[in-house]
Amino acid sequence: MKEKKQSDLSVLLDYAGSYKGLTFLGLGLSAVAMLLGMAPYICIWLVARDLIAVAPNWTAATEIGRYGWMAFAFAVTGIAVYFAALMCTHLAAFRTASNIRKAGMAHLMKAPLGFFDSNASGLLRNRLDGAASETETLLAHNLADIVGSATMFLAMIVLMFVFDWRMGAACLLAAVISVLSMFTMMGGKNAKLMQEYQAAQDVMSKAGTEYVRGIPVVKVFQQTVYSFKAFKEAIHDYSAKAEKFTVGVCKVPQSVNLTFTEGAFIFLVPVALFLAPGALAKGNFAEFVTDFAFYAAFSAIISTALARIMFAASGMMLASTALERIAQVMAAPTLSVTDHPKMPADNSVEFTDVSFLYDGVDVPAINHVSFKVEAGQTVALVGPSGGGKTTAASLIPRFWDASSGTVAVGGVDVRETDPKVLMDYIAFVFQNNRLFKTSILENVRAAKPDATREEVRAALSAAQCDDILEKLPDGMDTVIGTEGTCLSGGEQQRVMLARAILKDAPIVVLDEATAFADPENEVLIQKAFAALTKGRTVIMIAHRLSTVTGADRIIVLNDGHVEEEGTHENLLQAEGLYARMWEDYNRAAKWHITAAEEME
Amino acid sequence: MMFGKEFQRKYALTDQGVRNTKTATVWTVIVNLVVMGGMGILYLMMMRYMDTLTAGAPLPGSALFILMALVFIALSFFTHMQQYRATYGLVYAEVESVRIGLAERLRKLPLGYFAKRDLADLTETILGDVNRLEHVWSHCLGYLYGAFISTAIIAASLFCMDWRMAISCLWGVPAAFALLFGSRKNARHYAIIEKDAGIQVSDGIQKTLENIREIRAANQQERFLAELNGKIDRHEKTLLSGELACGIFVNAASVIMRLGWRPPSLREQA
Repeated sequence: MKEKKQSDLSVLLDYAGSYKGLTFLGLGLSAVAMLLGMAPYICIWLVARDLIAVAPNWTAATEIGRYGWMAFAFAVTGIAVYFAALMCTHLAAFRTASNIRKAGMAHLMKAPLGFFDSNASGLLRNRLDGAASETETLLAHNLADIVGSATMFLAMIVLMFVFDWRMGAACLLAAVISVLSMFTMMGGKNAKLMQEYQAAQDVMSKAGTEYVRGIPVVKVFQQTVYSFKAFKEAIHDYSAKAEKFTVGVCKVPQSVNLTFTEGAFIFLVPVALFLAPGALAKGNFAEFVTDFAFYAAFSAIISTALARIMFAASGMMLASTALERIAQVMAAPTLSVTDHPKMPADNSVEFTDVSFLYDGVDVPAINHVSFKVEAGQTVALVGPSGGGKTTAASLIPRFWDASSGTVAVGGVDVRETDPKVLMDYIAFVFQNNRLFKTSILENVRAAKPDATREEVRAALSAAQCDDILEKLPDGMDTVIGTEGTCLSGGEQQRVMLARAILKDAPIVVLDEATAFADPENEVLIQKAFAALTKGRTVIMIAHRLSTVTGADRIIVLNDGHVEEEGTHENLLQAEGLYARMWEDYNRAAKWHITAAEEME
Repeated sequence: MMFGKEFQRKYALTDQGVRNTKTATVWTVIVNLVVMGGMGILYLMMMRYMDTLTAGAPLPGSALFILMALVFIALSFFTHMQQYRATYGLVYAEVESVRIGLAERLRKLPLGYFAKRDLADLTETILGDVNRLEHVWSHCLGYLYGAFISTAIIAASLFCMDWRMAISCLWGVPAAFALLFGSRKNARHYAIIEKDAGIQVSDGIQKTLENIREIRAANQQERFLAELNGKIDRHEKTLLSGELACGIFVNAASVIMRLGWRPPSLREQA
């Protein structure tokens, strides 16, 4: 437990970078502040000593005014130093949080793009951004308080010998009980319960996202709400686990802790009663009463220090779980980058005995697939859904890397090219591509930052976007997503195609499903497709067979392997899976026509 | 009334929540009074010892004080358990019903509402807000109002004992509160600036992640990261200035609070 905490801390301090020293300065100042804060109690002791020495003849104590002002000075300086300490730790804490965010994002930038299909952006954002904020309390406040309290306990032990060790030990005993009861909450079996409680919180958060995402779908299809049940159960489970942890685990130790924190003086009572007769007999009763008065007042500072340790403990726990979430982000895989990148020799794409398994799945999505697309060819990937079309296509721009076998672009394994060069070679239009919330100009220009307005305009025109530009108030400069400028699915597709056209990459990987989005856009999108694919190497994921008849070659993927391969005519003659799919497709198309005629 | 409709609205409490807060407040008052009572034991002992010292009275008997200490421990433990049950113990059932209520409410919203919003963000915000409620209900409300009431009671009894000593002990409390409440506008001002900058960062991260395919396809990683880092740096600056501006007030208040007890020792001299 302890070892883990220390490593947590050193992880955090590493994120502080050049501000690490500032944290230590802050901690040092905090220790000084605590010592200054204790000094007034010694002044009280001096006041009490002088007063008791002359009792009941109070006016004889002439020095106590000076002690009073000294106490005042110590207290004010102590608070000022504490303030300075907190400023240092805050500076470092804010910098650390910033560095965590920056490091996390820099890391995610290098993750394979496929990673983002299974890890929602909202969840990643929340993990990184939220966890970074949660480390602030620990670094800004808790650490300083821990150091301050530790200093106090050390000073207490010293003071024990200066004043009266028996009464000092009595005060310390209460503090020890308090701290021990706090540790029982975190150790052993309870640590597991706490993890369960935190896991339940995670599950609830995920179920909540699923639920909210599901609402529109559920509304459209008038379904009974399945995801609501899941969310409700997750909420219930969290509440139960949270209650189990707080009430079942923490209630008693916490009450013990508070009892002895707020009653830090409690052992002082019997100890004083025990010591009083001896002191009276020995004649140093005045000294005894002075010490008693000192420890009675001093017990208050123990309470404060213990309360701070308690907050610190919860800060530690919070920071520890925050670091876990940060570690999850930092554990995202990164694309390997080769030290000796090779340039693709041409615009061909070749799969050689490629297999790919998604994480946590036993059945390969792609199983020993080999095929070659010559430069300038158009190849269609067809097959039943789940057959591996999208997976195969996403291996080309390295959304994932093959588990075995090689995917080569221009005769070079994609893992041996510079990722940036690869991205320059390939334009991809997938279903989950998005537009930025900026102007259309900037959206298209994102593909080629140095493009002129005219080039962008030409690309938009080629992608059949003229009608879109005409209806928008500021034409190309209209910001998408602002009031009244929402584009339909099909319109967005065309803008994305314009982006791909402007990019002018020699190899195009595209998902034809996009054309389904919007029937009235279909003709336009087909034209845009034609503009994009002309003269380029094209790998197309086809969902409708009507669009593939003209392809140079059709690859039929079924259950992750290549079932058939050939031109449309060849495959029809082979009378295999493709021929059956073609037959089904034509029958369905006929139904559509008949249905449409009947409607009229 | 302290726990009226306005209070209920302000902290988004259900009727049950108000009842829970009342229970928590009552137990907090009792806990604080018990702790104060414990200090009474020390006070009594000190008085008796002073009698012995100045008037030569016999030493006080042990039995009574030991008994008082034991009663104090038992009472303190018992009342802390009750306070814990009334705060942490009751909050989760309450929060559960709030969460489920929200989920049901969401389901009834028109479809158009969802089209306009980033759903992940919406969920985050709602769940995050409920988490904050959970914290306020369990950690703050009962303790805060309990502290108000018990401080008033303790102040009143201190006045009964010796009004001059009471004033010199307690003058810091209203002064500190005045300072805290007086600086609230200032604090709110900074809080708004900080929150805005924080949202900028959050949104920036979200947008970067959402558009990561496009960013990578266009090899724009460096540009987007630089832009995002700029937002992160700006956020850090607002945090710092806010902390500096508000921290001074909070610390000044704590100086006044802590120094409250010091004048009596000065005055006794005269």
